Amino acid sequence: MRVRRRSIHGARRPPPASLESRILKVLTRGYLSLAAAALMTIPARSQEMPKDLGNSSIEDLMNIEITSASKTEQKLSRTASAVFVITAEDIRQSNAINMPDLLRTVPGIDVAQINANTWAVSTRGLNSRFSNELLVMLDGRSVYTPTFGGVFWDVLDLPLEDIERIEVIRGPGASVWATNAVNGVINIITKKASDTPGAMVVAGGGTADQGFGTLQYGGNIGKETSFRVFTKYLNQDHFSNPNGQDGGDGWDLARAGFRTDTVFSSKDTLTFEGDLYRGREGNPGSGISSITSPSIQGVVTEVNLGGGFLQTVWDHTYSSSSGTSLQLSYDKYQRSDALGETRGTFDISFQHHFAWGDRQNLVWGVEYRYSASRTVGSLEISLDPPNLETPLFSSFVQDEIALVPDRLFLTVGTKLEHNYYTGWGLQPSVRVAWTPSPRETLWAAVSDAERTPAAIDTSVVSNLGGYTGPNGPVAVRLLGNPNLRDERTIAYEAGYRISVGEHVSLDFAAYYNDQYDQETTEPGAPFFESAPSPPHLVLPLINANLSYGESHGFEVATNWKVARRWTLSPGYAFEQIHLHLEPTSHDTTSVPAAEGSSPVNSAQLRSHVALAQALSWDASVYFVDRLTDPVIPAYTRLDTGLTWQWNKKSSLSLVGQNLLKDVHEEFVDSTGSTATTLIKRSVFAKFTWRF
Amino acid sequence: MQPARCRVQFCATVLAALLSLAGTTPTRGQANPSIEYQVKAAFIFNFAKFVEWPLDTFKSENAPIVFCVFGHDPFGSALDEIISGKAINNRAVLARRITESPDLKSCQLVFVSSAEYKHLSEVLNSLQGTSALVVGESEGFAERGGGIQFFPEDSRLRFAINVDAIQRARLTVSSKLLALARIVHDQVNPRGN
Repeated sequence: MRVRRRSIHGARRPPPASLESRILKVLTRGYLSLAAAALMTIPARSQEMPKDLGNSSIEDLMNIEITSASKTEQKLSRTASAVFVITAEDIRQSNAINMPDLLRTVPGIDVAQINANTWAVSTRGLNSRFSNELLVMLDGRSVYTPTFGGVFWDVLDLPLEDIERIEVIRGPGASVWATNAVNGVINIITKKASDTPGAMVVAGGGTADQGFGTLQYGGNIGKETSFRVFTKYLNQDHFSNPNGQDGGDGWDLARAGFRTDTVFSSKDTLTFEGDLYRGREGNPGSGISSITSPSIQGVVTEVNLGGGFLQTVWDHTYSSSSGTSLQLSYDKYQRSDALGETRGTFDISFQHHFAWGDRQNLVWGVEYRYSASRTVGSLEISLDPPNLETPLFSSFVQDEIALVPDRLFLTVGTKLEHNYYTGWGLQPSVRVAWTPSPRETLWAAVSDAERTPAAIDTSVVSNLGGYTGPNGPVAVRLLGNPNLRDERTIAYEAGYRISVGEHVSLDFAAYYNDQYDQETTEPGAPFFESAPSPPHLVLPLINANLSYGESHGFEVATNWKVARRWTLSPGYAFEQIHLHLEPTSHDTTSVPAAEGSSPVNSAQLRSHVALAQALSWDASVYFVDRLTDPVIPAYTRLDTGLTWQWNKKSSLSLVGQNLLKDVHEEFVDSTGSTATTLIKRSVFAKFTWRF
Repeated sequence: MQPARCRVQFCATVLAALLSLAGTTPTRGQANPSIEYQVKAAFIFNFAKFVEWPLDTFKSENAPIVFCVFGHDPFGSALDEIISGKAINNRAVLARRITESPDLKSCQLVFVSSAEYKHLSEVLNSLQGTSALVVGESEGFAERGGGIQFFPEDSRLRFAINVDAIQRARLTVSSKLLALARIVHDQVNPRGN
């Protein structure tokens, strides 16, 4: 991984004469972020309750899930945050075969593909390959890397058929863990092994996704334990670079995993899950030949990917209103990119929820995480120190109070965290939800959120190239700052959810964030260095907290059942950021980069039509406004698919993606760690067979 | 605005908000019933649809079917909401809260929450000779003589029917309900309970 330099691929190569200004320009901080934090509301309920339980059949009732993987049970209708739930049904209808494409369906989540194997995903601004304000959890385990505080989306590649739901929360009001997160939380919850019995074969291929497939088998061990094992493979073709040549970004990834669920008493369940993966991807990055080299070359490197995790969760229920959960996990990954990192993370967490009197639901938890990283580094990027062990202690407490039963709920809570870089931090929040009728909810929230620095912010050493000055060679270098402070955000949010009649539902959320101590890059005092030779002057650029600003926006998600067989889901998001430099700052790049890396307007329209008993047609149109820094023109993409489910066990889908244009670009990684290639029109077929 | 100062302000605001709310919190009423009990209430209503009571249980042709919650009531308003305005076989359905076991004799269906499980023998004794369907949620409830017992499986609710208890109460349970249930029998000394 590299953390700098604008892509210089092909046509984007700037004139060599402007190297100095180019370097300053390119120091757009790909990892600037709104701080955000968390505590508060609990992820949403897994499923919507039937409108009138009294008229539900026993069979329906037997299918309602009464406990949730979330911290405590909470009805979606009274969740005081901007929640969007992707259900298993939504996943089937999305025709997505990877996680980023699935997240495009959520209004307000910015998903942009950089090349065949790299994405930038964020919400409420500041998109980047290294977005560090979005927490992503898989079955309660955080999957972001402490190296930069974000997610390697290429290796977050679980079988989508095994996902029970994905709870997406925009804004800081979302997770009780949320370490070093959050402008939002994505909580991926997989199905219990008992819900995936039997064999499943998924096989497909097409023009971009050349071959992919999943083999899975689930069954029982004894009376109490169910299990599933799976293997998954994908092989994706390269895209072209802007010059029309092979972009070098083809990749493949193989994964094997398992999950077991044991019910060892009526009150105790034990879950084990884990996986191992191995893959190889081409990274069309850029390199310099020497520390003072004036030119940056496009270099494709083969990156070996490897990793896996193991985790266990013990849930104990004391009563309908109280329970505990103990979770242990170990996660390891290895990437042979420019940073050459191997990282292992051990995590233990405990949480307890209980009712306190008739009106209060309390939840509290503690977590300890120990993460150790070793990096090889390269001329382009390394960490100082190269090996670092970072412990993290986190705790939270939250109370949901029914001020007026069934009508008015107040949720107050705080997180208390101790991290390696900035020590103790307290992040409180207050949320109110008012349900004047069962069909509508008004909510509002104020939260104080923090993003703590990641390894890349504090320890990076990145040589950006150089030039020959009047007194000899000069090297320009980005340096991390171990004294960085937390980036802070005070977020004010409000929202309104309503069901109009039987056929229309609408979810509206708006926010205003005050941001403090945002990261900038400041020129430091030049110094001489004799090694590596030739002896040279170093012009350092050092991370600092010298900007502040405000951001605001809103998101609308609607669902309209037009006819019995036809559902339309329009969505729209507006987001805008204004950053300002402190008088002492000399940064010239962070402000335009922060303001121009996410689209101001984005809109989508998804349609699902059940054409006949066995045939359905899905289509999604996404409009994404232009990005101004780096510039990406506005684009509209159309994905559509036809699915023939000829019996309960077998289905065949034909899917076209990016149908409107031969090729288009979605994002430029301003750090230069990977180049943009052209996303092409593609089709694939997918066959699913269960038996 | 200085960040440090802002933080203090924020905390103060939160605290003030909390204090003012604490002062105005009404004291009546119940928290929103959990989803579990909303579903359980719907189950109970469904059970009644699939159970036939002997005619002598009812005082008259139009006498209501009476659901009773013994002691601790975990339903909140959920049970009342489910049954409100509904009828089963032209009989209205009522919900009552009963605290003394002798008062249970007028009930067609009695729910014993896990909090009251310790009083199960007392409840069953006072119901001897009546045709009440006794529903509970504690492990071993059905084996100890309860009629229907909820139990969780994969986060979903399942139920067990003790056919001996059903027979004792002279109830007729439809085969559809039996097919969905786990069938159990009286156990004289289940797990030393």
